[in-house]
Formats: sequence, structure tokens, C-alpha cells
Amino acid sequence: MGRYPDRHSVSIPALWAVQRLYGWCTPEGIRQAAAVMRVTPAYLESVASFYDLLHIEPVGSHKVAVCTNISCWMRGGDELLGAFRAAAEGAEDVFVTGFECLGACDIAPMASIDERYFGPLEPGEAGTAIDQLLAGEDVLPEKALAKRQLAGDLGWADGNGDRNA
Amino acid sequence: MPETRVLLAHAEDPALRTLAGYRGYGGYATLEKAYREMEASEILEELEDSGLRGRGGAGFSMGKKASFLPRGEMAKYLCCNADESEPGAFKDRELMQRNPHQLIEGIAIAAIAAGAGHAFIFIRGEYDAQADSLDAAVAEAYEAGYLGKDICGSRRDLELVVHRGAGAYICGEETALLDALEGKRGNPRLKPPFPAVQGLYGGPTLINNVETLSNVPRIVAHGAEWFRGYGTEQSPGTKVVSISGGVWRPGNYEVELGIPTRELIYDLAGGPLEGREIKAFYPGGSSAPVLTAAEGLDLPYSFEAMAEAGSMLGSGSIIVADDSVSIPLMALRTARFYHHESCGKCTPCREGTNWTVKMLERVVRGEATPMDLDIISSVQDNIMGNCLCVLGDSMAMPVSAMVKKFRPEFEAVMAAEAVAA
Repeated sequence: MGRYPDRHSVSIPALWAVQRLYGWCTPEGIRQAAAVMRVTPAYLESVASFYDLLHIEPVGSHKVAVCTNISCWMRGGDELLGAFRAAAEGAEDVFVTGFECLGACDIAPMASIDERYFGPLEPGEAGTAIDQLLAGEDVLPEKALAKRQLAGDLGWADGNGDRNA
Repeated sequence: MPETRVLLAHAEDPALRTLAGYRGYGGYATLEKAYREMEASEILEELEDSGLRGRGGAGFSMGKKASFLPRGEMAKYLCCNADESEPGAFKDRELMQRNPHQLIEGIAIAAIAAGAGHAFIFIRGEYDAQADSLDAAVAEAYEAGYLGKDICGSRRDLELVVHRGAGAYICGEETALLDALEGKRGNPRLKPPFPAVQGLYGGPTLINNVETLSNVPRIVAHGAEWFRGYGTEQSPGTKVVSISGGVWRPGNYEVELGIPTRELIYDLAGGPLEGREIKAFYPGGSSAPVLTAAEGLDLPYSFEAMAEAGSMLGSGSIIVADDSVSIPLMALRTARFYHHESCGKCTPCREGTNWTVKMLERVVRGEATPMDLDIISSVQDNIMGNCLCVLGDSMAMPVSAMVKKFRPEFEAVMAAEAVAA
């Protein structure tokens, strides 16, 4: 709280901390954060309910958000979401959801898996990703955004282009 | 024309992310000079003369915006808007991930111009990896004395906090961003008062986009004339353009403003996929009215040319729709996004986005009549200009453009009762 001129500013960071600890924004966690911040739990709850990334109901500890917005939709985002949903069927620890634009249209269709970006993904890769996730392995290392080169650089174009022909 | 990499210079070098790597390319020299030798007014003047226009969407003069802040001893703030959530936009992600120190240096120099002692980077929560790299870079900058107390022995101070959002497009709207940063639900505020007068914690606040602030170090280093050497009279400088959708090489390309749009889409992004043709494109993110290929491909890619064509450059994000894309479905996808992201504060936006989605769903299910298209258009007209912020307008503009320009396709879909949503 000391980093902000006003302690109220810490509400989103505090809710992130609650979510890290409990997996979601539990009533107990919210009460604790509210006590530290000297605000009412209801205030923090109203903040939490506004934001898509803060969960006010229990969710799995692994989070998969598949983008279904315009650019990903054009390249098969809906099918990818369906594949992830099917692959995660029965795996209660995995929370799969469709999501609005994640800001990675260059690797469409893409997904954010435990807060790291991957793409472009084929529906067939969903099963592999979920298996790797549950086994605690690196997920689809070749498809990680972190590995991607700048668009103008060579070595990227073909893999993406061919598939969509 | 090839790319003109200024902001993305050396971006392929992973070392650029570190302070040592950034300094190796001359980084932070401008900050040192600015803190030691320059007055706020000099920096402000350079920024105003450069004609740098905001890269977040509105395209407002950055120097002018900074000059609106009152002088005086009150606490002032600078917020960097890194809540990049506009469908189609992913340039700030690239700039933060590949060159975080360029942004930090820009913020620190702009803070002198604004007289701000406290700065924030409001980054969308989804950009976790980018926020991590910013955190690391900010820590390095503090360590090196480029942030904190008595920067470079200048007796000037600046605190910089990386603040992660939690998933809400509306927080990219500048007053909603302020509310979110104050720990509230991200609802837009009534303007005026504008943030420059009464912003964060009630103090004068300068809010600029990541790319805008990333331009600051070089403008101050090389001068306004140098910057005006790129781009057009009304759109000086280079722009990082995000291109996605139906092209061979989606990605970020940095070009001089004013180059033909065709070169961006065809030469750089590789043009349409095998056997496809370009049907339409959003020239400036999903909020920009779509242009048909015939209307748009030969326009210069500049703020003024896009405005003249009835659209906008926006955040500089091109989404290409080829002839396999159903425009009614694209309109529905667009409307659903704004409906989901509407904060619900203003009735025209809350209800208008809701109705538009429902009507478009009826269109694609084949349950609508041609009169419904007129109703859709009139709903859009009633949203525009009637809300606190432009979120509703951002749906109304592209949707009404699609209905107007592709009306026969909408009618055909309704008649055919085809396309599954």
C-alpha cells in the first residue's frame, strides 16, 4: 500500500493476492484483504465482480482462456475453444473459458494458458496442451509467444500461412 | 517500401530488454541530459513542435495534452495507458516486451514536462509476461538511479509503479483507467473536468499510450524537426501497425505514417491467403468503421486520410477480412465484444449494445426482416455521442458502416436463413 498515494488503489493488487493464495476471490480472503485495507468486504467484492480475471466463484487452478474475438474467430478460435473444452472434460482442475481479445492477433488463433500466450494453435493441439498442463510439463514450448520473432523477420511466416490456405 | 524501424530498432536483440543492453544502444542518455540540463518548458515545446499525435486511438497532440496541465506546486501524476485491449491491437505488447526501458525513459522525460512526481503504468492483467518484464526493468532503472529520489543528481524525483489491471476493456478509456487505478470499478467519469485538470486522486494528470511515450526519448534527443522528417505534415513520425486476420504474415510492422495502405497489407503482411481476395478491413482496430477493399487499399495510412474516408487510424491496427468472411457474422462478433465490455453506466450503450447483439443474432438466424436493418442503424445513431465515453460509439461506428456498405449481404443472409452463428 505504501507504493500508492491512496491506500484504496491497492484493491486490484490485493484481490490478485487473494486469488493467488486461494485460487479464487473467496469470501474469507476478501474479508482479510478488506481488513488490511480498511474498507468493507462488500466494497472489494463489488470491485472483484467488475473484472473478468478475478473470480468470485471457485475455478480450477489451471486457467485456459481461448480468444474468440474477430481475428482469432477468422482463423478458427471457436473450433479451438471447443477442442479445449472437450480436452479438459473431466479435468476439474482446468478452467477453460472463451475470452475477448487478448492482444495477440498475430498468433491467431491463440490461447492464454496459465497467463502465458500460445499460438497459432490447431484444435488437435488442445489435448496435448491439457495433458502437459496436468503433468506439470512445459506446455507447447514451440508455440510460446515468448519464442516468436518480430513479424518482419524470417522463419515465422510459412508455418502460419500454410495452414490457413 | 520497407519498414522504418525507429521504436522497434534492435527489437530482435533479446539483450535490449536489460538496462545494460538498452544503454549499449545509447539508451538513457536523453534522460540524463533532460534531468540534468533541461527545463520542463523546453521539453514541452519540443513535444508540441514535433506534432506527435497520441497513438492510443484518439490521435490528439501529445504536447498539447501535456500543456493543459496547470503549473504550480500541487501533486501531479502521469499515467501510461498500457491497457491495450482493442481487438486487433497488439503493438504495445511488443513494445513493452521487447523494449521496456524505452518506455520507462519516455515516461521519466514526459514526467518532467508534466511536472509529475508520481507515474503509473496501467497494464492489462492479461499481459502477465509483459508486466513481469516491466517490473524487472523498473527495478533495474531504480537501481541505476533513473527512477526514485534525486534522479541523476538533478534533485528531481519520480516514483513509477507498474499497476496490473484485471480484465476490462473499458479501463483503456482514460477516466475509467483512473477509477480503476484508484481501486474502484472501472467506470468512466463525466468530462469535463478533464484529467489534465482533475484526474488521478483529484490532481492534474497526463495520460498517454505506451507507443506515444516510447516516442518521447528520441524526440527530445534529436528534436522536433528530426521527428517531422518522418510521416506526413499532419501525421508525423513512424507508427507500429498491428496487422492480423486474413493475411500471410500477421504481426507488427513499423512504418512511416502516410505510406499506401496497400503496401502495408500486401508487401509487408503478405496480402490475402491463397485463393482469397480482400473484402474489407478495419483500418484502426475494431472500433474503426470498416472500409471496403475498393475504398481503402489505396489510401495513405495516415490520421487525416482515414478520417477523410469516414473511418479512423485509431490505434493503428488493421484487421483484414477476406472473401471467406461473412460480414453479418463479423458485425455480430464485433457487437458482442462491446456488449460484453460495456460497463453499464450509460443507458444508450448498455441497452444499445444489448439490442444490437440481439438483432444481429436474429439477422444471422434468418429471423429478421429488412426493416430490422434500419432499426439496427437507428440504434447506432442513438448511441453515438450520447454517453460518457466512446465505448458505445466504438460499436456503433463499425456496425453501422457494415450495415450500410454490405446491406445486400445482410439481406442475403436473412433470406437464406443460413450461416450458423
